[in-house]
Amino acid sequence: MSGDEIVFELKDVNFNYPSGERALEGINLAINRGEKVALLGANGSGKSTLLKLLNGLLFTREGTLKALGQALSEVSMANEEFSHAFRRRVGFVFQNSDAQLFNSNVFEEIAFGPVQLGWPADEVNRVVDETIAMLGLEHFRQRPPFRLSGGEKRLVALACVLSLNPDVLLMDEPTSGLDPRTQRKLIRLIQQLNQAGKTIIVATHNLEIVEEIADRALVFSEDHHLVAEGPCEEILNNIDLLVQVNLVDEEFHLHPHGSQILIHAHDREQSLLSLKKA
Amino acid sequence: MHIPDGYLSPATCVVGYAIMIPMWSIAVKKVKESLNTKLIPLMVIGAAFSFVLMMFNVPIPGGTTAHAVGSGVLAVILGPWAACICTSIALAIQALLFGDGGITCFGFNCFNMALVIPFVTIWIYNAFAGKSEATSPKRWIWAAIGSYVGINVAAACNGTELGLQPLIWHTAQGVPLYCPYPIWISVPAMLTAHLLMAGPVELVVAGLVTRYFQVTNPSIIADQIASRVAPVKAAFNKMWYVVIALIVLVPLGLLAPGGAFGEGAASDLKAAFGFVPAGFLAMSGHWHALLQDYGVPNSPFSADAPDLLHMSIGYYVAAVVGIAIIAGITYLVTRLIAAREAREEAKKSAA
Amino acid sequence: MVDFQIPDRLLQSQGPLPPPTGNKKAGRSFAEKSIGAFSGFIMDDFYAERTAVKNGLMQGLHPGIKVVTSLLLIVVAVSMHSWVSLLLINLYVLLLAYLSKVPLGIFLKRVWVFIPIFTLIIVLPTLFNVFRPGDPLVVLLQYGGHHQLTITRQGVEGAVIFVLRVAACVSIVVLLTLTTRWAYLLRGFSMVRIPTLFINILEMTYRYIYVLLKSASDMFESRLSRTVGRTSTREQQKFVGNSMGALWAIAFALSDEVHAAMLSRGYDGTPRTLTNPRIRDLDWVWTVLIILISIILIGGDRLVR
Repeated sequence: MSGDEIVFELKDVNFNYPSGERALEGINLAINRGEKVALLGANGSGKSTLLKLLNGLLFTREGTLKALGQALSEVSMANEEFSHAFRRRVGFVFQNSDAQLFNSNVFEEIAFGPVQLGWPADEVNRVVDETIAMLGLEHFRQRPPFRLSGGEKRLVALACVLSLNPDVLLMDEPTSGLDPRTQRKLIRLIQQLNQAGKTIIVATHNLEIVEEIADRALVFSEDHHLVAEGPCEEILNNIDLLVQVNLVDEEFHLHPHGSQILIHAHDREQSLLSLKKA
Repeated sequence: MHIPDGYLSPATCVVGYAIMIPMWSIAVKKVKESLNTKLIPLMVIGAAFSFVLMMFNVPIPGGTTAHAVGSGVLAVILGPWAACICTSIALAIQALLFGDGGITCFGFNCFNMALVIPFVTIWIYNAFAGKSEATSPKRWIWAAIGSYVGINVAAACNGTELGLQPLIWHTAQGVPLYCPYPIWISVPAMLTAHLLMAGPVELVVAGLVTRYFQVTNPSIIADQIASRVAPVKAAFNKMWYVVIALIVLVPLGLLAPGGAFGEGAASDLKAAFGFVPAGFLAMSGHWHALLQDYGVPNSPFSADAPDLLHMSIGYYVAAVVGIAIIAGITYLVTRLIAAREAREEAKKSAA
Repeated sequence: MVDFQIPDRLLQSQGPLPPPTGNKKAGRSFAEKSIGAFSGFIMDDFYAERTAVKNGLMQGLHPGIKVVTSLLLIVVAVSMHSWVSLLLINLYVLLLAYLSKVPLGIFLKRVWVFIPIFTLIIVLPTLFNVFRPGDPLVVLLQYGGHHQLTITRQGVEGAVIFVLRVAACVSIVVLLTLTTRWAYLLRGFSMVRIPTLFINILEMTYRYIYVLLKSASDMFESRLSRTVGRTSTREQQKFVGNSMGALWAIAFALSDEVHAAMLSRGYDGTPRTLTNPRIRDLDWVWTVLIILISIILIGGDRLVR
């Protein structure tokens, strides 16, 4: 459950790319320990940029960002010890798994983090074996990462982040390109990791999974503002909002049915009917 | 290794283009001949890869960086002529995108990185791994070594091109007009940086990529083996004629207008070629004897035929040094190949 | 329902994040430096072609004419010997940039930040009399009786000419590429009789570079986010080696797909010629203007020498 400790706190954050283009405008938000939060928005709304800001890969000059109680800035991250300590606590699963996996085989990939920390060999082996067992990646131990399918790569990417046991997990579109069963696996894993105490922040525009992987949703508009914030059910019921920010188009309808939310287009007969009427 | 505009005198630049333009034509012809459609996208990838490779900085203990070029391994995978085109394209994009590498110096930049490196690499590779299987370790080892040697030879050529500038082109007061460092500084500087930093990177990249292809797609390597040696040798014989003809003709071409229009040549012509005599006459110490023979007045404003002759002497100097280097390498490698083949023959007949 | 066996160690927390202490600065690793290089003005400015679509002077010229006249100007710049004419060329190109609605700050930064400053550093030793003797301009110190360490007049003159010349050439190229869309630049090249094969490959390469740069940048970024401890130089080199291999694998796989796409659209290996846009009066006026300016500059250069 959500604790009182604030994991991320942003005040009046604006972010521009080096070329001058605006990516985020006037962002104020706070995320507590143990929450699972969804960042919702269309492509280009700034949610990926926000994740990178939270991970100390990008830095803003306007506004303040605190992570785990400390200021997260170019200055603080320039401090080597701090930077390492930070990255041990916050893990990032990138949208592009190809970019994330660069070692010669899956085992080495998952071992990468522990090896950097200088753990003894048997400790490293133990942790990697454990992680591989947890995610069911035994068949791929010796496989080079670029010879895995999209879903397998995604799981390996998650595995290599988990081998360091971060307290916070940032994920950028984790379900994009996954087949239904792998998606189901991923969702279940996110839920269990959250139950184990991890704070999880997922950026996505896939509304089907939001309720399952998040308790709270933050909605970003196409003009880079944070326009809404609240429990998932409330946000997903607000169809006008969803249409306005291009999370849902006018043809598709969201109907809440009890504890479920159905997303569908009108069936053919109904459309024909409305055509005849006009 | 990129030379920006302003480091090389116009005369040198012309020589660079004089060498490369026929080389590019041959390359285009060769690639079209051996073309199967699959090669074009691969060449594009090769060019883009070479470009990106030149942006990767590898840390060297002590904190500085160096970069690889990649044209050696492209020569092994795609053939030297295709590699020439790929690298020339990568260099063109860098010249245009970054101003990294000049436009006037583009000829010599391509000579160094798109001609010397691929050909030195392929000669060494063929000489030592030419008879091996497509997947033999010898291939990636010699691709790597060949690339290392190639990039260093290119660095030496580069140093020579730069180092000749202050020796030939400076004002009467001794101010160098182009690159200010003479050959005894520029060549060691370039060579050291490449022997120790960029060279090993080139070596590793070539080894890695060749091995990658051997593992995933050895047919590409096999294709190159099939189309080898004989055509390359024949092309080179022709190349010699072309290059030598150019070396002779280019200065003659410049002499012709002066000769044709005589002393009353339009001021444009004087203006266009006047800068070279000025530089040459500064070398008066060396060329004094010649000048006296031809009775040349010590004036930078004269566009008389003898001035043009001095200018053409400059061309010759630059060109001959460059050709000498290529000739030296060709000779050495040809002897190496011939010696190995003789040994193989001897072994066969003994067996 | 799928269920995972979450191991005990994942139930533990890392503990609070200690504040930054001490002065141990993370030396910007090569990876971070590379990210800076990739994600900088190269990816955004150039590929966005933002200046090239504005309605300025250079943008309105025929691409072939632009290429040829730019080439002419570069040759002229390389032929100049007096710092006066070189300064004039630099100012002239700056004026053209202004008339072409190029933001001058960005223009100057693009031109000067890399090559000319680099050249200045290279040429620095030549300022001193220990490198090449000459008339002293500034005496720095006296030693051993008669000996002096001075900055020579010739040294300064040579350095100034050199740097100005390099800057002039770079600024001409930067102006050309900032004000011309890539596709049209290539048409300009075809006017200068560059073989179609080259142009086709140039065209595709430009796009591929973007893809590869993005992939490489992503790789370095994700590597950075996994930097939890100091890695040896050897480790970093291994990473670069692996990245290069992975990058090549990506490029190669892409090549297969592109080849298939090309074939399915009728490509049979013959490069087709590009169509030529029309040359207008403005282009002729421009050409004459540039030729005139070139003659004036060369002539003036000769006089000033």
